Amino acid sequence: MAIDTTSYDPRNLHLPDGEILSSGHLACPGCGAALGMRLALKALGPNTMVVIPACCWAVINGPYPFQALSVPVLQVAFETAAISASGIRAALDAQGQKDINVVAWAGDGGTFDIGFQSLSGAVERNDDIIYFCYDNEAYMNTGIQRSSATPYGAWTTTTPVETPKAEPKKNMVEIMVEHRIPYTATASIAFPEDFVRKVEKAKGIPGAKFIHLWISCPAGHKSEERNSVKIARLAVETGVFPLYEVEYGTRYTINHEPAFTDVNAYLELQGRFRHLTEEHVEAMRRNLRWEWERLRAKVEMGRKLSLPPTGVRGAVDEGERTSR
Amino acid sequence: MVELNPKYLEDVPLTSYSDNAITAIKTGTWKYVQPVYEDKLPACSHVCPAGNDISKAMDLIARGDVAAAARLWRAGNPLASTLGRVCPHPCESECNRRQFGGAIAIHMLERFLGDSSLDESFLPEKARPTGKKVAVVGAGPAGISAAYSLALAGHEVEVFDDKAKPGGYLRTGIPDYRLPKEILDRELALVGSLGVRFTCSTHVGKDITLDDLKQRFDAVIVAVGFHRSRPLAVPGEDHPNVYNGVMLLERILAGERPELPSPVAVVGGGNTAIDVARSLLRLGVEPIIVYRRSRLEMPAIPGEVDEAEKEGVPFHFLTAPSQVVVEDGRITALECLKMRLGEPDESGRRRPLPVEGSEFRLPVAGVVTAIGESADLELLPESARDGWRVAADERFATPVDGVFAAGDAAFGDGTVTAAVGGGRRVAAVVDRRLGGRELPAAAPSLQKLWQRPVEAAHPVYVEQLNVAYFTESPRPQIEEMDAQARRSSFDEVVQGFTDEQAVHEARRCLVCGTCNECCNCLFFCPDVAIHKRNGVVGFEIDTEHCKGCGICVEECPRSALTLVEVES
Repeated sequence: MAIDTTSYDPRNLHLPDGEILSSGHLACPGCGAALGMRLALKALGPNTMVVIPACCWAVINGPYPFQALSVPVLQVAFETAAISASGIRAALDAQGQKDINVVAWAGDGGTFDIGFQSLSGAVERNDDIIYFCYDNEAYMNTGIQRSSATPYGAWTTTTPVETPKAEPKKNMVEIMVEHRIPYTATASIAFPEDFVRKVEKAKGIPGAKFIHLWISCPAGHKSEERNSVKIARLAVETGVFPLYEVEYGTRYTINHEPAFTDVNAYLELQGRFRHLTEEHVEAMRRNLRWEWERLRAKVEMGRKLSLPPTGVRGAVDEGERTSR
Repeated sequence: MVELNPKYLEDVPLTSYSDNAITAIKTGTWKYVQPVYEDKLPACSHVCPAGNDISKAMDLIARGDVAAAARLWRAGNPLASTLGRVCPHPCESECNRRQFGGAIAIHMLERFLGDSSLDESFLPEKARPTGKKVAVVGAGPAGISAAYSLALAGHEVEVFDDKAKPGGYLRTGIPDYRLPKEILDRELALVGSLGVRFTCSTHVGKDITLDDLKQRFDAVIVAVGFHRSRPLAVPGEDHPNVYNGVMLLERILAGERPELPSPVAVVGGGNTAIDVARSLLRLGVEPIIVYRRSRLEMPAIPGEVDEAEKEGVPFHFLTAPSQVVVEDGRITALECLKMRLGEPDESGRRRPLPVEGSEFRLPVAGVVTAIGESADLELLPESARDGWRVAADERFATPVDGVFAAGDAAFGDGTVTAAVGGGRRVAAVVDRRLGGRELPAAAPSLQKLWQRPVEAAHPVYVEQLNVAYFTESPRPQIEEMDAQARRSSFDEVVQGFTDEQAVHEARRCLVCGTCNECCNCLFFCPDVAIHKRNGVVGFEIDTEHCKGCGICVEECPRSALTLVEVES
């Protein structure tokens, strides 16, 4: 019987097979940060060096003499992820080793707050690194303290339910965009193909790259372990965490048009939002609409603008844009 | 090379060295629940009266292995081609795909599988001969199905039937435009190839007694079906132009083209009424269906009612005949009463009540009765009868030792599919008996007879699926003969699927409850604790490192994983 079966593939996900993360690491059950690292390294491949500052991953990687990644890892002080990566890059460049990906892998505390100045410095110099912020929206490793990545209304141990966080989350992606670096993107563990594509794209671009990865944290979000991917998916589908990328600080692309499921679907799976009143939720809905209006306006604006001219700090020569 | 002060080397190693053999840490000890791959019963198979393993077969077709799918289907079902044409397919009403573009056309794929496997190479392997002999009374779908399963189990089977050819109602009651008899003959030949003997034109109870059979055989299965048309019980019914629907269909199916006056009232709302009306239409007679309840209560297969309507058969609902009006020796009308629906009766359908003074006359020249059939149970002793049916218990056993019963005569399910399922089950019971084992309290469920184990208690409904992974895909248009052209032809109305259509349709199946290697569990595990199994479909869990988070269970689109408590 002549039936063409070559195209049959039931798979939902097409991802690289290689594994650099190994079993036995010390992440909590259902940890989004472990899944995020696994996926990032699938895209990065073995020719990679990873810098990890103080954060959950400093623990997850395992106690001496073990480590969970089969690539070199340098564990550094809280505020030095980006500058340490820059240093490694400079050393490799001095040795002529251009084909190694140098990666900083920091939490939201190490990015939004404590590591902020060294990150700003590294990307201002357009150092050729990929900086990942895996964002679980609080200092989970030290006991769930508020960070500037903690969203409005969330419970943490320093913003108890009587006075939940009153300020909105800092928009880190836009801050990076305004450094006019070649590539800035958001990503989610619930959209692995999109994430892997972005990492692969970042590998091919010289200069500073920033990838903001939203991850679930069952311990800090007070959510069920089994729901980690589901919550990450809802963060995207409710519009709370848009998936988009920005090239040269100018060209915006929305990578996934959300279903705009009501935000309650996302909130109700997480104990950190359990105290919220309908008024809070309504305020969130208004804010979501406003954020999306802004984002869409930037997409429109980016369409009309040309890419920054060569020779200007932050931009790179046309030739270099595709050389790597 | 930079010179290092040797002083430092004494205190601090030059580089810290880490080994990535962290797999030595057995994080699996943390868990209190763990995922297991567990095939579950899909909603379609849960309601399949014949017990077909639908989702597994769909997955095999989708992979292009039609032969394996056909073998799986024929493992316990000898009438795949036939059922693909005549089954009312309750599976499709339950199909979880129905919210995402429409149910899978399962009946079309059953027909495709059946038609692709009409030779002996697709039959399961026969067990070694047991030396036991079984008599089956009635060569209808229940009898054929029981004979098939028993022959496969190694028993010697002889099937008795009073008609000249085997097939029962499939041959005498289902018109060719729904079931070409060539298909039935080929499937019966398959059953015959297993060594089943058909002894036709032999009426058990007249030509041969049940006691004779009991002496000659180790077990007897009574599957005589419903063949007697019930009378209307109205004045004028004895007129020669009042026809018995079952007998009329049998004549038409035997190739006769009886001359009937026109128009003709067809009284009844079951499949016989619809089949008669559609057959008459093809003979150039104008049929009018008269049914005492509304369309909703019709016992006929809804799709067949739709087809009759498409072909132009008029319906009079809520109408009951009260008299056949005869003038000058000719029928001139059927006098009817209008009805209204009252409270539900014991069948669960609303009881029709006459509207007083609503008599009216429907001008017709003939009447066909098709208000239901009953069984001919004369072969059985009084003790083995229970009113209209054979007294059979949940084990399909009758009070007469060694005599079992199945099909409509015992349970009155009214579909070929249920008869086939009943045949499988009674065969399992008889096989047990012939093996010298105790009879179970009830016949095994159809899923217990499958080759693969499934958790039968919890069928998979859409609530158990992760619908984030399913997108809309429309149900295909099924090719049918033009309604106008059908009025002069007994050719088959519905066209079968081509290979390409079948594979395309099978790929729409969500494969509820069974792993089809979509890889979600594999890639979403934060602990890299799921691995592909070598050489077989599916994955395995590294329980030494799985922390029991359950993401794989949640992200499985089809509920093929379950979280279970870890035994401490």
